[in-house]
Amino acid sequence: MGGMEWTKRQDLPKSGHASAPGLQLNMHRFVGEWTNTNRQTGGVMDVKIADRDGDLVVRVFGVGDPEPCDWGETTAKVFALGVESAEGEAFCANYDLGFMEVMLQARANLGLLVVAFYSRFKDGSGRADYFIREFYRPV
Amino acid sequence: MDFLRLQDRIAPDGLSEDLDASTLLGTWVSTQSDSPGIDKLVISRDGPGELKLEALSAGDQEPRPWEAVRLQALYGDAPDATEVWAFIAECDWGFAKVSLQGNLTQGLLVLAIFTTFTDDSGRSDFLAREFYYRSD
Repeated sequence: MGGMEWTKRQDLPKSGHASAPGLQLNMHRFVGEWTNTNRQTGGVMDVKIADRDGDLVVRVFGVGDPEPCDWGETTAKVFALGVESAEGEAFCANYDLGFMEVMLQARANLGLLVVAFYSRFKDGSGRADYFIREFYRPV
Repeated sequence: MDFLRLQDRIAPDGLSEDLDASTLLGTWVSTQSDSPGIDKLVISRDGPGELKLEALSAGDQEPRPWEAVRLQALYGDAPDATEVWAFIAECDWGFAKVSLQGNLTQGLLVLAIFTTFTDDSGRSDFLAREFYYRSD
């Protein structure tokens, strides 16, 4: 395999060669406005995603009291489904919101955006860091 | 208490002690008998409050053991959780960085494996998801 290093078989291209270095993954399936399939959620209601000059920019709106909480924008890192694929399959994005950090792990599946939120509190409030998964449909 | 979603808030008496990590401990085997990814995971204690993960991935002929990595973050399923529900661990192989993001669901451990290549080999960074059942 041309001397490529690997840790698991799926790290190796089946064709024996990979794409050109620096290839931009296609991000079109993520771009748009997404809203939670659960209208009673106490978590994140809406996610807006844009392709801005090749960067995938994510903006999250949490359910607030009474107004939504705008988390602002962050840039995501995109992942394919395999080493030879040029199609974006998932992305990760991080928010540092002062009193907490949240890592988003999202993937497109069956027309939905499935988002896992890994939340870590930094404020000494005693709250447990927590994980939750939510489902979003296109607006 | 600051919050960014209603679910971040809890009642003052809802605060928990440290999360119970026994939910993760043990040997987990891939539901794919010929997985091209990670075949097996062993999660064990590694000193007070620490957990380590040892992975065995699919090799050419023999399984390939990974160096043990510490679980750097543990998560419950809510701010008032008492048990570990998810984790993140990071590995740096020199030519690639791997983020292992796992969570429990329906008795399974679901692992998202994010691989980022740093060797200019032209390989796409990729996600693989695998499912594991407890074997002990």
